[in-house]
Amino acid sequence: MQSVDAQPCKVVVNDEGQYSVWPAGRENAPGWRDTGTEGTRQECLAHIERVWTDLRPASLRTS
Amino acid sequence: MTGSHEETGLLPVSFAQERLWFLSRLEPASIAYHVPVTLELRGSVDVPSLEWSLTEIVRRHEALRTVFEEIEGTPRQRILAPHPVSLPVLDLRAGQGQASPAITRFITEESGKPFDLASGPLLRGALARLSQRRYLLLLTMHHIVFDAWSHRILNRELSALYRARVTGTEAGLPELAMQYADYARWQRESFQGARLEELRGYWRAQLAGVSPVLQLPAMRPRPVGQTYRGDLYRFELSQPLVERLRVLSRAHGVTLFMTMLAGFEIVLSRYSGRDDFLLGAPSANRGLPELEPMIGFFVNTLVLRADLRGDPTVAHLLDRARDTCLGAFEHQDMPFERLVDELAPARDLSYTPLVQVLFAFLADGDDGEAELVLPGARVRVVQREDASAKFDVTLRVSAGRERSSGAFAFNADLFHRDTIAQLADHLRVALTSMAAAPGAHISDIPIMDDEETHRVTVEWNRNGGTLDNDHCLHHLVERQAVLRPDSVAVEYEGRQLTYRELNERANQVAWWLRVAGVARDMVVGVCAERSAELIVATLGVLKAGAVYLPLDPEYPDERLRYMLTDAGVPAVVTQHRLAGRVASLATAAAILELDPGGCGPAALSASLENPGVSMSPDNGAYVIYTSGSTGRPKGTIVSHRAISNNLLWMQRDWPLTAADHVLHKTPFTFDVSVKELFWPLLAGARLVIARPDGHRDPAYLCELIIRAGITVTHFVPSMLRAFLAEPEVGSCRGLRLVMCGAEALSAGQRNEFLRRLPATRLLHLYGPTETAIAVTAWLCDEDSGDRVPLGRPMPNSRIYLLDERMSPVPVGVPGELYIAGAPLARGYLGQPALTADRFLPDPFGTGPGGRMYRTGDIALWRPDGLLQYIGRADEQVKIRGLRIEPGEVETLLRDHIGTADVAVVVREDGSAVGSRKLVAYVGTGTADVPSAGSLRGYLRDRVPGYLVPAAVVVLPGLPRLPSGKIDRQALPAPDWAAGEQRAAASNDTERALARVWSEVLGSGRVGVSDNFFEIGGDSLLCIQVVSHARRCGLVFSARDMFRHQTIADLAAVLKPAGDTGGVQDPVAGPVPLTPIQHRLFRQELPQLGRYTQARIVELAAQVRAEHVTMALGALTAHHDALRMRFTCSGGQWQAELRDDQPVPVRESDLAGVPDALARSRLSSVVEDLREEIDLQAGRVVTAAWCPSGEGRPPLLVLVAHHLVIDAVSWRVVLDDLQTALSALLREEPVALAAKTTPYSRWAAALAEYARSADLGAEVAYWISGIDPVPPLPLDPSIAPGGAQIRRHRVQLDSAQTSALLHRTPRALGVGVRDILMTGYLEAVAEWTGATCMRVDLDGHGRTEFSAGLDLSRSVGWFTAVYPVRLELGASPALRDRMHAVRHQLDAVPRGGIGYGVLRYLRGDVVSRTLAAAGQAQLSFNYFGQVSTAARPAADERPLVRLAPRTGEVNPLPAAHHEYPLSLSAAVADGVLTATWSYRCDLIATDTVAMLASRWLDCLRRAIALADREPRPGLDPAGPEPMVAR
Repeated sequence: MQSVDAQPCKVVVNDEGQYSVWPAGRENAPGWRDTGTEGTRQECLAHIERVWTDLRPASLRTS
Repeated sequence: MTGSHEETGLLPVSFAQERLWFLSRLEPASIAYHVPVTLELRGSVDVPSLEWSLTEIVRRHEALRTVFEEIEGTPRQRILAPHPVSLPVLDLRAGQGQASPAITRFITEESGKPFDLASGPLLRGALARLSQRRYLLLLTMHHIVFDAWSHRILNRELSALYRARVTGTEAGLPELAMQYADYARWQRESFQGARLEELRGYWRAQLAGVSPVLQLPAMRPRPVGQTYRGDLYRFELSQPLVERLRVLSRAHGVTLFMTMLAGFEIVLSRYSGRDDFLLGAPSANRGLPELEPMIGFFVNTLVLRADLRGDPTVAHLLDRARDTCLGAFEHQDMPFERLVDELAPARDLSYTPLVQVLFAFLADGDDGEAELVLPGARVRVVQREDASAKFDVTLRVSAGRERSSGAFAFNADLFHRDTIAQLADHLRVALTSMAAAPGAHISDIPIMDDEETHRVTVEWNRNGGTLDNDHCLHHLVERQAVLRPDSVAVEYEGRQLTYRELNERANQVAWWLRVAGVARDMVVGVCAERSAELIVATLGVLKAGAVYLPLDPEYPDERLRYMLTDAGVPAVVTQHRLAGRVASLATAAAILELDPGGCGPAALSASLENPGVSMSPDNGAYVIYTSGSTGRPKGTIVSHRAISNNLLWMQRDWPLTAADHVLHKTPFTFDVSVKELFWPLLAGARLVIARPDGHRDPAYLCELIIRAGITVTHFVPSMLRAFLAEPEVGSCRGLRLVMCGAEALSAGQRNEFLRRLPATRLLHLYGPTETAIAVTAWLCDEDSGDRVPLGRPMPNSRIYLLDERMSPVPVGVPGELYIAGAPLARGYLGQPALTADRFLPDPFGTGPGGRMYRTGDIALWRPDGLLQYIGRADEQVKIRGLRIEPGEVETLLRDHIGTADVAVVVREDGSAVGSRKLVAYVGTGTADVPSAGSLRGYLRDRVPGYLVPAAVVVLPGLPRLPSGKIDRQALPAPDWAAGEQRAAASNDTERALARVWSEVLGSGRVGVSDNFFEIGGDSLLCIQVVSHARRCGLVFSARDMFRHQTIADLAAVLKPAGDTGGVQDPVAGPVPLTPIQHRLFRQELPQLGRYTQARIVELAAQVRAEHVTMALGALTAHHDALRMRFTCSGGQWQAELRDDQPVPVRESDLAGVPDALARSRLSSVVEDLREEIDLQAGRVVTAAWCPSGEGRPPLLVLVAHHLVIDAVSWRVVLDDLQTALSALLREEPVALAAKTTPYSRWAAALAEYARSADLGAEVAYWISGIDPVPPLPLDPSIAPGGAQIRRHRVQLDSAQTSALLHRTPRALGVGVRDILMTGYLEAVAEWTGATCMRVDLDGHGRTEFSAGLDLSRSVGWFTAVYPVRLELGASPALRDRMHAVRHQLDAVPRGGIGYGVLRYLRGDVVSRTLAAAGQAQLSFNYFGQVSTAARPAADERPLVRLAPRTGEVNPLPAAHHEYPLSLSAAVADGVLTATWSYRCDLIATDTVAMLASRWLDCLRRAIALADREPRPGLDPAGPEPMVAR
């Protein structure tokens, strides 16, 4: 069976500024939104590696 | 096709028959291929007409009178002459109702009676009479001559013939144009040439590259050999749904069959995790008009490839299903059996070849089995589907215009009924969704409905309740410092810190760090051995608002340096003596040294007050580094909220009190240590620290637990095992709770724990480092299953089991385990991509923006909502499409070898490159561990072949991680080269096997490591190997060939004579005495040697004396028991087997002796031979050769001591004598039929059985059987002067005997033995006035009480003598009395064999109790019908025949009789003869005459009673309305 790992992906982010990947074309999980980046899983992860510089949740960063 | 063939002789069989014949060889006892049909007939039933009609059907269809013979390992069929079919009638009128046990028993017994393919018949019938006008008709056929289509023909012809018979008309059935054997020949002849090449080409291409195994999630492990225990689950298919599917089918140009198939494929794909697999569909295979009216085995299995690759749309999948099906139909003349051989998938006995799942579809109007219609009777089908599961799962769908339904026939040894019920639900959901959205991709076709999805994603995640987790860890400790400042918080090697001291010193550390510039969420290193400093340091770091990073001083510099850099550590707290090393590694960091009390010179000046850093529970608390399977070590950062959630849950559900002493022994680089450190401190309990290297030393831990009064601790399972092996572990009575996790806990370990520490609770915890220690818990003593579940999710956490497409999996289906909610770590320090890869959006969560962690663990939901761990996703191997769980093998090995360490891993290195292989590692430690070879053998006997590791590596010890877990990465590669590709045979057995293989395979060289099935072997060749090898004296079964597929493996289990294996059957040496032998010796007979049996046989004229000598030599060599020697020393008898030794044959010429004198001459010959018997010399068989002169057959007189022979053995001996003599006359070597279980092994097995639990269960029965009964009124004054036996013989005439044997039992529903026994009981009751008696019975004793015993052709004394206590019963009616007797006799367990074993072999209180009850005063023996000729093999003339009347001579000398009264009866030459033997010194002759006459009278009354039963016939009231089914 073709696993999600092999499918086209998109980069998604939540309100805490946490990034993740999600199958392209699939409805987002609640509270997650597209960032506009799509590609293979590896491409998406490489993108995240560049843009997600502070792993702390946003609520911690501002406090 | 030609319609003629020779009516006699051996004919070829069809391919399908060949396979069933082979299966019957593989599993002779299996009833999987019986086809039983049970019909209820109400009304008037004319039994003779039914019999006549069946007889006619058997005459018309040669298949039904065909038998199968083996010629050189291959089957041939022989058609027998027409023969009458009779229907025995069992009277069940006493039992009430449809479901009465008697009816069930009737059906089970009748349908389960084995068929003998070699002698037939392969169709049989029986009737059970339920009431005056109600019968059950049970017809049982063997599948080898019958298929589903044949039912239709049988029904049609039976209806026509019966009607014709009872109405006196003609049935008008035309004779068949051809017969099955014609078809078989035609099939073989036509299966060649261009068409064959075309078929081969098509199927090879069609099936290329697909795995021939479809594994569905079974509730139970797959047994080593395929089993057939089946069950049936029926379900409805709603008509609206079927209509929608018809519409869908029409729209896409497919049939309903193809649409249903596509839906089934989707569900199977979800269950198996596969998108390319095979399933089968039965095809009637009656394409030619000549085949249509024939009864026979034609059905073929079409192999259909389910191709769901690339996530097609429903419409696209329907297209594929159409192409697949049409292609398969076009090429359906490829017999499935040939396809199996063509594709040669690896042979494994645990599943059917090629397809394990079948889909059978009946479209509207296609299910028309012609119904059985009998004038005068209503016919209802009680049971059609037979319960045996020939495949793992068979889906049968019947889609009609009015009504549709489905049924799953499934293997009940593999699947739980609930799983199958769920499968049916999922099929319905999938079909419904397909009809609704044909354009959808199949990945979007749900198989679970909303309710089920809600249950597994929401409901089962609510079990933990809610919990306040809004806390920082150090605040919880500070509260205890206020509550109990002077209580001991930490104890270490005799020193103690109070809560106040701990808090103050940690505060100093915190203040120091603040001064050094450490701020919230910064990572501070703690480098310390296990010590008080370590506790002070970690707490201090938390108080500073920072995140602690454990740095184990045992780690190499490189690793420590990496972590310090990776985490960007600004400061390190360490022990004084480690400061120098730390400074050299963390050059940029501030370093705080603590002395053994937890104070440092630099800290002395710092404040003792809580620093009170303002922070959020979402700030980090600790970072734990773990090795990734790929890439660099990664640091998981966990928040205060996540860890508080865990610890407060533990405290809520398993609270610690101030009285608890909790052991800290886990290395603090492992997250379990966080629990050990902080759970006691937030609960006010005492933390007791083990010395730095103590966690590896179970003896020390045991001692510490006792000394320090530890109440709570944690073990990883591998350390728990070592701990439980400590002799002192039972003294750890203070332990009240042991937590266990981080590795799979086996049920064996759990049981061992509960045994050693019965008062301690064992809590099984599960959770990866990424989710704050543990997320599920299970208290072990609540569960007694064979797997320890993970339990249920903890509060504020959710667990999802998802398939590869992240859809929830149904109950019972393995899925990857995802965790969501409070326990989640923040992520991997400084690794955003890795974090994003493992922490994914939570699509099922309640709150927005939640994440779920993908664990890589595979688990399933049990039906009760408990999680069950299966294994690691990355350790799962698939071999031939089968999911392999190394953990399963690990558990088996571990439970086998006790305390030794075991790891089973998948390797892909060395010769395993490109093919992942299982390797087992065993660390011997101090334990005594079997060799690698014997461990593989052990596993081969217990798990399917694909689970047997390719190599077993035995090491002194297994490498461990600091946490105590086994370091799987560090396990060495096995020496593949050493074990593999050994080609040359290294011993005689291997050489002999290699010779046989190359003979059979027709290939020159065969290596001992070659797999039989990979070098051209197939199932039939396998039988030939078995048969050829047997001639070389190597005896094994086809099943053994499947289990051990190389010569090396096979030879290893054969253990030929001369090997030192010690388990081969002894050819010489001591053997244990059996119960019946013990019994004889205990009687201390004065003339023991004369306790013999004799046979006189007529031989064919051409047999000469030397033939007899040679034949007897072969017989004694073959049958162990005939070489026995019995010696007595000190009153104890012992038995041994002698080496081969010829039987002396004396000669006694009878030529010229007049007939009148011959008989007395023979008697004296017998007497002489009897004299020659000498137990101590080992002369247990003697013989005399008696030529009788011209024109008269020579005679052979044989005498054997009863200790080595019984009636069944005589038949075997005479059969073998026939075989041997005919070989000798042909001047060929003597090859006797294969041995069954030899006598010596049986004797040894009995000794073992004596101690088995199986037998223990019989104790109560036998003890109740010796309840006292009134003694016989014996009168010693009748004839004083010692024991004297007299006999009184009575007979029943032949007409009455015939009635007694046939009509009476049928009409009365009891057996002949029951009738004879009832008469005995009545007669004795009249004499003694008592209505109950104890009587000793003789059983043949050849009971297969343990697997693998087959005594059918074994020679020895197997008789079992056992007492039965019989009550005459309250009712005076003879019928009731006979039924009562029958029930009591039926209750005897296992043919009575257990009594002797309990009495003579156990030597315990049971034996003494049974012995003390003494001997029964009565005995009874019914020999049945005594045959008079040896059975010649098919192609041999009879050479041996028991001489008429002289055949059985004076069986036993008089003096040994042990019972005051015995009754024995036998039928010979059609006459029942009963012998009443009695002690004439105790019982008057008149009394015995009275008893015998009462007995005969009873038999005659029974016969008369049966005669008064209404004969079955046409009902004069006229036919009833005919409604079938």
